[in-house]
Amino acid sequence: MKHRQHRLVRALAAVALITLYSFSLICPQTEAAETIRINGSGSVLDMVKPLAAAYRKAHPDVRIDIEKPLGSAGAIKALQAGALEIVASSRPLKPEEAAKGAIEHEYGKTPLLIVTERSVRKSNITTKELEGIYEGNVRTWPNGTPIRLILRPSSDADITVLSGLSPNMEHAISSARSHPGMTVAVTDPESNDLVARTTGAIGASGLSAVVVRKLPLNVLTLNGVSGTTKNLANGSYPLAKDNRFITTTSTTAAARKFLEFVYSSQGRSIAEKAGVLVSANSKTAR
Amino acid sequence: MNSSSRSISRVTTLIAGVIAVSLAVLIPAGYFAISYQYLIGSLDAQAEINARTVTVRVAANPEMWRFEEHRLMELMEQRPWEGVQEKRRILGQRDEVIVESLNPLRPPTVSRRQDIYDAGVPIAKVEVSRSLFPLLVKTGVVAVVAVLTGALVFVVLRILPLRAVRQAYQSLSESEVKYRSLYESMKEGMALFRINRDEHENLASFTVADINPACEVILGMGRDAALGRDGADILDGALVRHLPDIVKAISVGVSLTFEIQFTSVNRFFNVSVFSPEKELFATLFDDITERKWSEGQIQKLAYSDNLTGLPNRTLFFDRLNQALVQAGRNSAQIAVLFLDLDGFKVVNDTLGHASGDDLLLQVSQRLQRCVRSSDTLARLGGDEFVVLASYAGKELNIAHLAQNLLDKVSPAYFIAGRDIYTSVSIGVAIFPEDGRDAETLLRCADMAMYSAKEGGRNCYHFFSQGMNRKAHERMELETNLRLALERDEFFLEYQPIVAAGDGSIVAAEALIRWQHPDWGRTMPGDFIAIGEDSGLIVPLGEWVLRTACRKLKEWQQQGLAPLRLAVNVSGRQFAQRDFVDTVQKILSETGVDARFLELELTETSLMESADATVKTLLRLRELGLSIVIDDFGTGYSSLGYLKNFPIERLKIDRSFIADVCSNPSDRAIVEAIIAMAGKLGLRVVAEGVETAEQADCVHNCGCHEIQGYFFYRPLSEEQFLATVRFVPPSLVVTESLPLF
Repeated sequence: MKHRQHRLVRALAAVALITLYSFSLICPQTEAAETIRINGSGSVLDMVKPLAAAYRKAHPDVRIDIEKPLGSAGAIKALQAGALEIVASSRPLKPEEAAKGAIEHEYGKTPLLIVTERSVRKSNITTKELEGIYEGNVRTWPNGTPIRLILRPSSDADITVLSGLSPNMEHAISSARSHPGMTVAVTDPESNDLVARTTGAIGASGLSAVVVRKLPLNVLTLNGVSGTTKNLANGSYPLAKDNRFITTTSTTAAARKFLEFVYSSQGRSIAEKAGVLVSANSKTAR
Repeated sequence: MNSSSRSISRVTTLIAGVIAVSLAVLIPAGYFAISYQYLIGSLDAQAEINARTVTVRVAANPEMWRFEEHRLMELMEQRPWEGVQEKRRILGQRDEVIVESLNPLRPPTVSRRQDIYDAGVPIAKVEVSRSLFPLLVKTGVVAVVAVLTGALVFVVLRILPLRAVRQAYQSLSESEVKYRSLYESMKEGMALFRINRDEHENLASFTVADINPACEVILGMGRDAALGRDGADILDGALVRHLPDIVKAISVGVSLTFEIQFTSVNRFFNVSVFSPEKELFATLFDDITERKWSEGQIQKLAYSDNLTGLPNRTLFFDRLNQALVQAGRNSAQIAVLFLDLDGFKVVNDTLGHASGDDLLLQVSQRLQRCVRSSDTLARLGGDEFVVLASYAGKELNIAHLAQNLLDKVSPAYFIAGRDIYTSVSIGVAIFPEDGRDAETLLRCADMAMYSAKEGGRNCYHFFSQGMNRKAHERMELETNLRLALERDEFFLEYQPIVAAGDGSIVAAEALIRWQHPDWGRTMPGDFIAIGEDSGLIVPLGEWVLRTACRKLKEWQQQGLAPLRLAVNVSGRQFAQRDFVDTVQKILSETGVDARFLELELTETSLMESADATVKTLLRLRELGLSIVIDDFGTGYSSLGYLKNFPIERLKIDRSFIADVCSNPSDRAIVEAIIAMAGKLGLRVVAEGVETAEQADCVHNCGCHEIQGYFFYRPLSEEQFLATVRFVPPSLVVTESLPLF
């Protein structure tokens, strides 16, 4: 009899544990407590910000933290350190990053624009002119205003993209970096801010930043081609920055759900409005 | 190369080596040390700047700062100097790399770290590293340059000084060879002497340190034999007397020059002395024998007569002038005797000039033998000679000289195979009486010579008539005096000396008299002085003593009452070495009892040689006779002799007696003499008592005996004997003398 009772207690306990576990899986208030920390490239984060805003409207209990951009590399390290849930990256994963469990999800591209401070009376720039400016051969704008070139760190994705514009561009950029007294903007927002407020400044900026942040910049056409998603899609505009998301196997469900939103048609629509040529479909994030 | 230069070489090499090694080591070491410190400082500064920058970023984003890789990397990639390879890292607390910017660094490397803070707590650190390789390469280059510099410095510091030293030694050697050659080939003798001092630093001797070949010839000995020899042993010791002057000269750094005569080789040297270094002096011997000889010849030609070799007129005047200066200073007298041969012209004319010259030469040789070395015989020319004689005596000496010259010239001369006779006439002039300068004296002598010629030749003549007469008289007197001794023309008179108390005759004084065949009776005052001057006083005094002793003995033998007989002894006689022997001989010859013999001596003659006088007097006393001081009070009254000399009596000089009654001073002197004599145990005789008053006075003064005209004049022997015999014997006997 006692033996029966003991077996019954054990059976009840097991049922209770399973019940509790099942409850915990289906209970919605667990999601409402989630915080999704997203960081990475500034230009990609510019795209993420309207997505996050839209997602928060639909999920007011989800908190999405987007701090000042750490850059892709730093954000990936932070992701791997558990300090982030999602990284918005503008470049592909490096093998060592992938080896440490990082998983990338392609999303799209945004044109990399050549922008100037608004007082610069210029609407188009040629590759040749750009090479001359970076090499230091061209020091003034046509009206005589000094050209103030805003550089980016060598590891920045913008530099990688610009270097690929022409065979001489990489050398021109190296020359610019070797010039003394050059201003280097570490993050995309810093770069945009510096160009916007520095007289005669010229730099590069993702279309997303210009669109989302409504920056007071003078966007130039490159070799007569406007930096639009359309021209990017038809291949007439050469400069584009990747927009990717990096996760790990331990990325939280809330984060995954947000990514599902991003990759959803609603999400893609918001992204395209933010100047991104979305190449991924809704299944890519999975 | 000698030890000194080797030492210089060693020291120079050592110094150059030390400096070179110092440069080669210290320069790269210093460069490395300074550069390393600079590098460390630079790394510290860079790390500090980066750490401060990151600390600011940490404060801005404490949670996520370490993931701001772009920002951190951009910071790490900033390099202050282009081309400088660095490794910059941000490390976590466990040294895990947060960000790193790596340039390839070649080992070895140096790293500096600075902490990154959050809320004041170190949370990470910045490390900046650089390779030391470039610095080591630069240090190596600097080391190579330093080694090359050191090598160059070594070469410069060693080679150049040594080259200079070598050149200096070479120059010195060449110079030494040159001067050695000069030293050895010079005709002057050079000797180097070392001064040796005793333990008190006083000059002890001087020894030969080196001589040159010329000096070897001078010294007559080789260098090896001369080295180390005492300087007094060489050059006949000629240098020794100059040594004090030499030492004095070199001590004040001046040179000295003097002449010496090297007598053994009869050579003269002019010696120049200088000191090449301390305690050494060099002598340069310049043989001046030839020059000396030449000078002598010139002197001879200038100042000598060619024929006779006698001084000529020039030298004679020179010497005469010198003699006049000296005589004027010393109040001495000078005589110039002008000689002229009589009849020389006849000789010259008849026998020829050669014979005349021969005669002059022989005459000059005879004249030369007559004059003293201190006098000058000169030939003035022709047959004229002149003699310059200094003298301190009376004209008689010059008369003697003149007579001697006459006598020497007179004998025959053998010339041209025959005997030639000649004579000279001599004129004498005396300084200062006849003239005070050379010309005047010679002129006077010349004039006197003509007077002699006129006087019959072969004679001398004084320029002054009075002097001429006086001199001839004296000469005649001396001649007669000499003859008188031979002819026995002297005789004695005796003046009794009486006792002051009763007037009895107690003694007598023997007084010499001269009975000249032409001049008659001559008193001592007229001839004793000439006797003194001529030396005739000695035989004359001996005659007096012998005669007196003989007479005394005769009287005693005749039974005459015994009395003392006093005999005067002149100073010159007393000074004769054999005076005592002579006295003893006479006493022995005559056999007289010496106790009755008294010798009267003047104070002056006694005091001429006091020590010798004491001995002589003591010997005389030993003979038994007694001594009387004659003319007491007029000579050297050094009263000390009174107690030292063995004297019996004092005879007060007649000059005190003459006024003893009227002149208190004379009386006081007489009384003092008598009182002093009384204290000394001497008896006193007063001589020259001519009046009764004087006799009373001296008697009252305490005088023991009296001599004088008042009692007795000097008496002939007969008178004296008669007088003595007339006096009762009791009155003749003295209290102190025993009877016969």
